Amino acid sequence: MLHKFSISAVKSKLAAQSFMALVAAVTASFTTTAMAADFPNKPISVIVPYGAGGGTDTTGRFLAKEAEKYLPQPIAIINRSGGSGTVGTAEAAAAKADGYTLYFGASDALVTSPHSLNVPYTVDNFRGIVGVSYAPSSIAVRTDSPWETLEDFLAEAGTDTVVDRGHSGVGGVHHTLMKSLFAESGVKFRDVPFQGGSQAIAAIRGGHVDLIGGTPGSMVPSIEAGETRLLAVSSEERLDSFPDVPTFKEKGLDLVATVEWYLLAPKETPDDVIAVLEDAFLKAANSDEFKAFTVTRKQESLVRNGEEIMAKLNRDWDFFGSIINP
Amino acid sequence: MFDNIFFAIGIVSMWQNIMLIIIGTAIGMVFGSLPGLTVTLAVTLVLPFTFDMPPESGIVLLTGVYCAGTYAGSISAILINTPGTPSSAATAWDGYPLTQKGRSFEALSVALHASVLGGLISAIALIFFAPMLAKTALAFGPPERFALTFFGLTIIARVSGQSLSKGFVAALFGLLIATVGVDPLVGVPRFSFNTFYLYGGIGMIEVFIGIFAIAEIFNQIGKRATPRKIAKDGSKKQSIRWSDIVPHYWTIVKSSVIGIVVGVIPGTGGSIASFIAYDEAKRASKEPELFGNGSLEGIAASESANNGVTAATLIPTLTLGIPGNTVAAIFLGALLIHGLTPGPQLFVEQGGLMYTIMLSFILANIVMYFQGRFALKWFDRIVNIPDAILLPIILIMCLIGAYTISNSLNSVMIALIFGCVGYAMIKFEYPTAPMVIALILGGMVEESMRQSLILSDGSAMIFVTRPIALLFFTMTVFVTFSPFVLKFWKQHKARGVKH
Repeated sequence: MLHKFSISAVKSKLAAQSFMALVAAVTASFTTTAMAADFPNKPISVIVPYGAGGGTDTTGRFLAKEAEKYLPQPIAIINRSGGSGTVGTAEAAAAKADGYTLYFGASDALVTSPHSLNVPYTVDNFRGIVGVSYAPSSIAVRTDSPWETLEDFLAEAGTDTVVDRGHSGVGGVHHTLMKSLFAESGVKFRDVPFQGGSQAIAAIRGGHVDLIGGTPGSMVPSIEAGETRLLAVSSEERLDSFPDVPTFKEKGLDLVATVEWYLLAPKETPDDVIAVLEDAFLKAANSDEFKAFTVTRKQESLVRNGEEIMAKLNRDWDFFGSIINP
Repeated sequence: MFDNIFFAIGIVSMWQNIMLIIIGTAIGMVFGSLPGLTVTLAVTLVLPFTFDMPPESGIVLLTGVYCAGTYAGSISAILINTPGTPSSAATAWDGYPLTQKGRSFEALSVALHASVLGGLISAIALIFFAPMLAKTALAFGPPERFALTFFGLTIIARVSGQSLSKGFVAALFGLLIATVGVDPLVGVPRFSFNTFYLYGGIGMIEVFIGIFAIAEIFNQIGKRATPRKIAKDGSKKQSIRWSDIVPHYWTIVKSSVIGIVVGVIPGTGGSIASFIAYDEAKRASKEPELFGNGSLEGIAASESANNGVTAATLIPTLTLGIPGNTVAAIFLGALLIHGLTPGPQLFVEQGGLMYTIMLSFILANIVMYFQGRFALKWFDRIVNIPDAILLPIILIMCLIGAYTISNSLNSVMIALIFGCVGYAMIKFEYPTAPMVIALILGGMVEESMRQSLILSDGSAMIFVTRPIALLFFTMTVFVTFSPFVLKFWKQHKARGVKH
């Protein structure tokens, strides 16, 4: 009964919306600048290129929920998973650039995958709306490891020690960071990719590998259990949550690599439409509720506008490109 | 400890939480029983509603959805030959033949009892053995994982039915399908036919929908000339009694333990548990010839194993922060959102919450039992619907189910292609069971073997120098060759007597 009722409510809402859309379309045909003035006049879809329930999906949903407070239309999250995020990203890149189809993703699919796989998009297919959060990469060892600090580890360069290094998967941010760390330091290694960060963490805790790369947030349970320790993080500055862990940068290694979460639109989306979206989503991303939520997802809050996020994306594109295809 | 248990009893017996469990199990039952709608999807859709609840209530709701969703996969497996979840695949092998013989209600009844018992045993294991079992989980590195999954693969030899060679062909085909997608260790696309849709591999649920349900629909259409022979009054038993399940108690206990052990190991999942339990039940059975043609014991084994996984898979999730499967990963997310960080200290600091989780598993299984008793009478009537009406409905549901997996027509195409493949396999009498096992385990076997060989610099000695791996390989050899040796020995002795 309840079910029927809600369906009919949705139907009437849809009917009202399509009527509004018709009115809007008629009005739009009279004036060319009407588009921004009445944008948005129908629900906005946000493509998330991963399955429902994961970190990116829940963050996207929370952001959408907050942004709905500042927009007259509902925002629907659409999960287009597959191909490590490439399927949904490709679809978003090819979507109609009218501001009604947006893209919320983590940087892996956009700045690393196109360098190694044949996918029909690059960073140039998108323009930024807002960047909401980031997580650096980091390297961790077991607490019984002989390497107490990053220097201890770097001292293995030139010795015969072969390090079994684990990470969350080929071509991702953590793997890329590992590659450049071992290339710069000259430490010998065996590379053991796992399917996802949690498998890599299980492997280091069980002592099956010597060192892993992953987000510091995902290591918290094993650090608190006294089983692993972080040697260094790959952010620009030390993290509030790990004040004692040095960055690679301060130890003289030029390694700054982060996973970023951002909202993008197809490249040709008009400026005035972007302005409306940027305004609403910046407010949403800056809200206390959203910032508190990103902390629970083990992400660092960092709100940036469209231009800033595009500048960062282009830098990342070049950086990961130079490591993946040297 | 007792403070915490009493606290948990207080929480779980609050009327709001009992309502949430009832709602949760109902949602899980609906999602689990519809082909293509998975328990993962159900848990995901419920998750946002838990954000505004106290953590205990949120967990209680999710537990209900999880338990009932895992169980309900058996309903569609038995009635329409489509496992709602990969872990119900083994249930379909015996459940559907029973439905064709008009004994669907017995099959549903055994599945319900086995699921409830498996779930309860698993919940008890979670209460008493969680920290101990967590350590076992960490002992499983790549070589051990390879040994376990390889052991799972050898089951193929025993589910091949009439022709071993046809079984191997089907298994190799399954392994081939499992290799599609971006190589997990070097990141190069394999057999992707230049379409990046296949970079992620061929989805298992799509294949199941195709190879089980759509192929069966084609098969039924093909038989139009001869009306379907489901004896409508053949289902004599129309009540669910515990006595039905008594002959299978030992099978259920054994299978639940298999489910718990496999469930604790992260990244393996319920499907391998139900295969191993099924195989073990067949080996130990007095009527192994019934397996695959409608054995109630087979259903009991498969269902108690995959429900035995449910609570066990939360052990590494809660104690180590390492989710055992996708549903456990969502549970992990729910805990994090409430500011609870999993780890051994969670049991110390949040003991009340931990016991609430465990008790809600027990309560969810009890509620599920009564809901199942009520619902099965209605589900069972599905088999009385005429084919001309039922088959198109199932086909449409299958296609919608395939679409919802990734919200794209590509998945629908995969399901249809495998529908044709499955139909050809039925016509040429190739067994589908080996292919399904190979498809599910192929990726894990390959990945863990290659990881192991990287760690050992290419030496296979790594598989025999590690005790757990060696144990599984010894079991593999024993289980595979003992029937042949026994047969040979008996023949030899018989000949000796003659002389």
